[in-house]
Amino acid sequence: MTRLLFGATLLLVGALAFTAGSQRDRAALPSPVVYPPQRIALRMDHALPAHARLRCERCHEGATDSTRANESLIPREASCAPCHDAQLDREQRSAETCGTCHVGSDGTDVRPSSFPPARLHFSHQQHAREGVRCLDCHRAIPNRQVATAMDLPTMESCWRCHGTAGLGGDEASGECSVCHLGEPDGRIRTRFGEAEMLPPRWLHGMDHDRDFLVRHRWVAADQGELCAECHTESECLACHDGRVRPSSIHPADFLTNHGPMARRDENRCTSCHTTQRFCTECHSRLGLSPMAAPAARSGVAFHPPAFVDAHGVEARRSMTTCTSCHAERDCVVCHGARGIGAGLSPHPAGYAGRCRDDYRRNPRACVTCHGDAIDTRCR
Amino acid sequence: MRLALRDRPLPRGVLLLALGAAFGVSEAQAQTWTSDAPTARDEPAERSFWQLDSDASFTAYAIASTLSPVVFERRRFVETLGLRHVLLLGDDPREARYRIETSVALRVDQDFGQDCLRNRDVCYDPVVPSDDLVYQPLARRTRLDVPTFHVELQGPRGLRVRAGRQVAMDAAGMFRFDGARAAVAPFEWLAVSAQGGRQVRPGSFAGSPGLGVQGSIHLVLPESLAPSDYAYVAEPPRTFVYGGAAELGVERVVRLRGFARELRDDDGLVLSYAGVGATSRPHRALLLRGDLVWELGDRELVEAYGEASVHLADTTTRVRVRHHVPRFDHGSIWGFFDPVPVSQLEVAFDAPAMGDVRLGVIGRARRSAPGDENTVERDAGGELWGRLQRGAWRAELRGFLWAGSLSPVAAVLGESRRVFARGAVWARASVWRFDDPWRAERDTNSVSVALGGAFQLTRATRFALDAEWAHSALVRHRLRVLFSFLVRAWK
Repeated sequence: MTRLLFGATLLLVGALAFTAGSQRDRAALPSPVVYPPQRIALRMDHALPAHARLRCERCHEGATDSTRANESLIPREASCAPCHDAQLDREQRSAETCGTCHVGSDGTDVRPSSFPPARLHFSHQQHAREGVRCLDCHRAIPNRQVATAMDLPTMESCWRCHGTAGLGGDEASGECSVCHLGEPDGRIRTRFGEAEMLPPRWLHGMDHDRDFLVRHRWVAADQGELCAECHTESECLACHDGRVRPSSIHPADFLTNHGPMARRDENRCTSCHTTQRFCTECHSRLGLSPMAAPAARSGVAFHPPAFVDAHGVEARRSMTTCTSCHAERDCVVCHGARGIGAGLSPHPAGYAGRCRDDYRRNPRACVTCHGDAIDTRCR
Repeated sequence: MRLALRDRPLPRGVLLLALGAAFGVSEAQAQTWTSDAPTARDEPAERSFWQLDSDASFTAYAIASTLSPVVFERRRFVETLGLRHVLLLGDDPREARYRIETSVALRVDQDFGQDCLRNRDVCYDPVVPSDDLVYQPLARRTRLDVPTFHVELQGPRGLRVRAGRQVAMDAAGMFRFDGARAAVAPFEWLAVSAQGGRQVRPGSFAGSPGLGVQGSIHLVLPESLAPSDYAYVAEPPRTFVYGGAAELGVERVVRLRGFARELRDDDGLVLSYAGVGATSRPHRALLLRGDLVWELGDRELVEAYGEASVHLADTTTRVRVRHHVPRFDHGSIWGFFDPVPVSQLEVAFDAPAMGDVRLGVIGRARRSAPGDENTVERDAGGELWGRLQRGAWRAELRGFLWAGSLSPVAAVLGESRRVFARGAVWARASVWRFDDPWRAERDTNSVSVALGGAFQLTRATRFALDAEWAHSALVRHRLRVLFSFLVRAWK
């Protein structure tokens, strides 16, 4: 065990060193779901001194009056005309003229560019009125040649003002629907044609990574209302009703592998499955359970002989494993007050001293094992 | 169990599927609101919306075990049909501050399988209504369920008032009930909620040891059968659930939360949980979260969870501690047994590596003491994963290992997925190795390969097909095929 722990620690430290060593200074990048991929066949140099000294609105006309994200603010040809008049001369079409701005153009043809609008609600006008400057959000553009989707603001940068729940700045509303497209029921629209929008890694620990399968219970208990911004209850039930098999939780051939995993109970089988219903259905049909029909029962005992002495340990660690085949009556046969093993108490040490409270709360379980022979100390 | 003619009720799910498909397709052609066109449209001026959410699947595979003379073929058809109606209140729907949402979900689960002895010369039915002396694996082949059915008023300041069949959750888990729930967050730093009603347990959900009365098989019997005639079958008792929760504070400093929940049936108190939790994010890069849950009856700490996450640049480091007592509620005899806590520590780190690759590593340690001091169980494990995301193509490879007292388990799993404009295709492969601590002959390797695809038929309809082949010494070859058809659209 010591060696294993040592090995695991070495592995962890090695991986940390490797990834940290290769780590560049990467802040979160703009979401490709919010900003669909662009196709840019234009040539531009924002850092060129002649461009850098111009005000943004000089070329991006109407930017400060724009109220919707699907309004194109890409400069039109007329915006370039005052300075690029010579290149815009239609009589002189060539690679030298058209190709100045249009990548790959030889004067006869121009490759189309595509700038899909952001999947957001956004008003440049409102931000401008609030005194937000272009470079507050598009910081790197003065040093760029062509500006791309990488130069559009990330959600993290929006949160400098739009933070919620006391997290970011509180100058502006942190309601999800202020920026994100919504469905009629008020939830955020997360599914788009080619992709699904997921929470950023830094948001309330909600990054939907592999680890999230285990963590999401606690995240939901903490941030249930925030979960409901995107999810409906039917999505919870789709997994937690135990009738579908999400491959992320039940990897391939889980039917064969579920035994050892259930014994470990890492993903808590009972989060989705009722052991006394879901598990026993298969186990009894296979003849593995004492409840199975006589015709289905195997001649071979499921548990090896040595299990008799060890079953208490197994039961204390994972009673749900036992209940995937056994009903209460199987325990009562031996552990009941009048059972074969009467006196082999499954109760914790010192239980007799506090059994009276339990009896008063709900006597049903007491009666199941003890019948009318309940200790007078407990009545 | 004696042989019987197979009892196959009418597959009502097929009718529902046909209804769902017909309605869905025609509706999909008319829907305009959730177009996939990548534009940021303003909300329309309508005030009433319908959503159809239907999912039908058919799965076929066989189940066998080396320890059993039986093999049974599972042929399962599951259909869910969800309908939601949203009504925006107010003169101008664009400015609506209140809305009423009505939601209903129906589900049909139809089993077509049969049970056969291994040589398949004798088959018998898992539903034998005439045999009242043995456990009925399936009380009936067709199960109808209503997972949710509620009406909710939503308003400003987090106002939600809901009545009907619904799901709620707290740090002790999820539960489903028929009743009412109200929640409001009057300030950013304060939120309160309360609920009460009758717990729903005969359905397929909400049956975990902590939440439902266990101990006997609670199956819903056909109306023609008396529960008292059936061994191992009992109608669930009426159980009522009530409780509430509150949150106080802001996350930048600390946000505290607490809840209490009780279950009570005709015989008395079944369960009594209370918990407290806190979340703090003192710095943008640091998140701290913790929860504690007690059983008030014996004041035992049944759940504890602590998490610290650090997000620096594009890396995440997370340390997590879990403490869990696998106990049952007091409605069953197992609630009075002596289960022991299982504690687990996890340290995880992930970061971008080269190009579009992201790497992660997780270290785990587990401890439990189910016997005396000499039977303390200790296990350690690790997981390493890498994910490549390049445009619409994504590939992931991961491997994990557990070793220690609970016998070793190890696996390597790979998955690749390519998304297209009108669908996706995927492939999965895995190799598992596990040892059985009680039967060395069951130590085995398991190999599997799966191929599948999903295809968008219209904007609102899609179907998927997944075929998985697996092999192990335990069950030899197994083929599992799943077909599903999904309709999801607003109107």
